[in-house]
Order: sequence, then C-alpha cells, then structure tokens
Amino acid sequence: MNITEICARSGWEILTKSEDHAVEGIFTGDLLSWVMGHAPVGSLWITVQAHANIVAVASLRDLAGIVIAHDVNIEQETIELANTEGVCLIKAPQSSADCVKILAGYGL
Amino acid sequence: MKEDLHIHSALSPCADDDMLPTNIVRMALLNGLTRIAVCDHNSVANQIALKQAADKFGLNYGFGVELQTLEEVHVLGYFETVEDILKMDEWLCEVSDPAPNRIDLFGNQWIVDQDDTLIKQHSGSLIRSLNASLNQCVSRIHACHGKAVLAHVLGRSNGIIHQLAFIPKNLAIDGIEVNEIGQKQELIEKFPWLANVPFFLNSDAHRLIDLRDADETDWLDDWEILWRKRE
Repeated sequence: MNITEICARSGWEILTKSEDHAVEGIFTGDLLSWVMGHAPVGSLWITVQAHANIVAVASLRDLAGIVIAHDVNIEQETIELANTEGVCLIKAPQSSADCVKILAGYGL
Repeated sequence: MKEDLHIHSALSPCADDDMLPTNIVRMALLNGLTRIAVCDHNSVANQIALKQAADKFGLNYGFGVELQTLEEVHVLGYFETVEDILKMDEWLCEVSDPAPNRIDLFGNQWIVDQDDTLIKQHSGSLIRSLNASLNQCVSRIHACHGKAVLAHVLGRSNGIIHQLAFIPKNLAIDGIEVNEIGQKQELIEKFPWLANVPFFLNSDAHRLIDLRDADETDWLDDWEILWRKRE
C-alpha cells in the first residue's frame, strides 16, 4: 500500500509535495535518538514530535513518511524542510495508538 | 570564575525542601563559588527572593529558569534584570499547563521569601511540558533579552540529543551545558558549528550537597562570557 491510498482511506492530510512512497510497515516512537537507531527502512513513522529534526531522521532511515499524530501543531520550518528533503509529512487527528490501529486495519 | 549556573530551589518539585534561598547562598559561599543562578522548572516565582538572599550575603546572582519544551527538551533561560524575568513570567503563565500539582507523586513546589519563609505552594504542575516548542522557547527567551542555553545536552533524560537526536545547525542557541568536561570536545567533533559557542559545566543540584565546589578542577565558561562581557 502506498501513502496516497492510506491517506485517501483514513482522511489524513498530506502536508508536503513529495512523491508517493510504498509503505512497508509501521513504526512508532517519540524519542528521536531511539527512532534514528531502530526504525526499519520503508516504514511509516507515527510520532507526536513535530520539530524539524524528524525530517532528518526520516531521511537517514529512508522511511516512507511521517504521520504527526494527535493534531500536534507543526511549525512551518518542519514542512519546508520536508519539502526540500523529499520527506512526506502527514497530519492525523488520532492518537499514535489509534493511528496504528487504523493502519493495522488496512493490513499493514 | 567559579560559578554554578544551574541549581534548583524548593520550587522545583524534584528538589529537596531545604533548597531555600539562604541555604543555597550560604552553601555556595561555603563552597567558594563566586556566582550562582537558580533555574527552576518552568517558573521564576522564587527568583527575586533568591536574588535578595544573594545580595544580602554579597554573592553574585544570575536570574534563570529551566524550560521544558513540547519536545521535552530542557533549555535554560538566563536574564539580567527583574523586568525581564517578570516579562518571562507573564508568558510562562500563558503557556503553562493549568493541571494542578500532585504533591504526593511529584513533591512540593514551595514559593518562598528571601528569609526562607514558606509562603505557598505553586499550584500548577511544573513537571509538565510548556505548550511551546523549542524554537518558541528560545525566541521568547531572546524577546525577554535573555540567553538560551541547552541543558545537560548529553543527559539521558530531557537532553536535546536524547529527545531530538542532534543539535540543529540553525537553532539560535547561546550556550551548551554539559555534565562532564570531556563532553565539550565530543560535541564539537559531532557538531563543528558549536566551536564558538560558550560551554557550561553546572551541578543541576537538587540537593544542597550537590552544589559545585571551588576545589573542583574542571571549569568551562562563565556568566560574563555568556553575556559577551569578556572574550
């Protein structure tokens, strides 16, 4: 399943203009030091961290994209950097746990 | 200069109840320190009492606060005037979580006077994050004419490296606090743009016995360097 299809089904908003990516799994975590060391390549990362550093972490781990959960405010700097780096940012109103449940419902 | 610029008073829920202005100042003098700054979590409510106590005993004092950002990063704010901390206080009231403190879980949050009299408990819970991002906290410190220093950056809880994996190059930071002197070199190797940023080695004392002591051998930069009053 790819990002566009996931967002069409869930109603989540894509905030960036990056190209579509295939999602190979789900990863959650809010400690960036931990995510940087552990997130599997190709996974969709769900977090409540919205600092611009999430973009570098996603880029480094070659993640499919980042779901910023729980309607957390996202600074413009984060969105601009994600556009520059080609990292897909998605905004979701649900908690991280509920985002996981939704994605699991799609068979991920 | 032998300084300790990160100490907690009894206002911080995690600090001992005897971290009172006169006790802190007398311990600092006993330890041979030339200046202190107390940085309580998310509140400046004891700053004037601490400054008055320091003045009374002839110890230099710097106004401070330790903010916990939305990202759960700890950043220290330092100020030179009462007006500036009062401006900071107004903003802190706006962005603080109104949830009440649970003393049984987190500890007392004593607001005190310069003679160590307990006045009242700070009602809001100071261990919670402010409703403000790291960038917003740093901007606000600067708007109040303050200096922003990243606290215990390699610390395992609430240091920026632990929370956000690295120090962003464009963060307008005025200083870096480390827990041991060797961490300065380690950080400059990883983040070369920090080479010209002042580094601080403080106690982060929550107990009187943990204040720095002038007999210790490792010292980094000081208050005057932070304010660029000396190179």
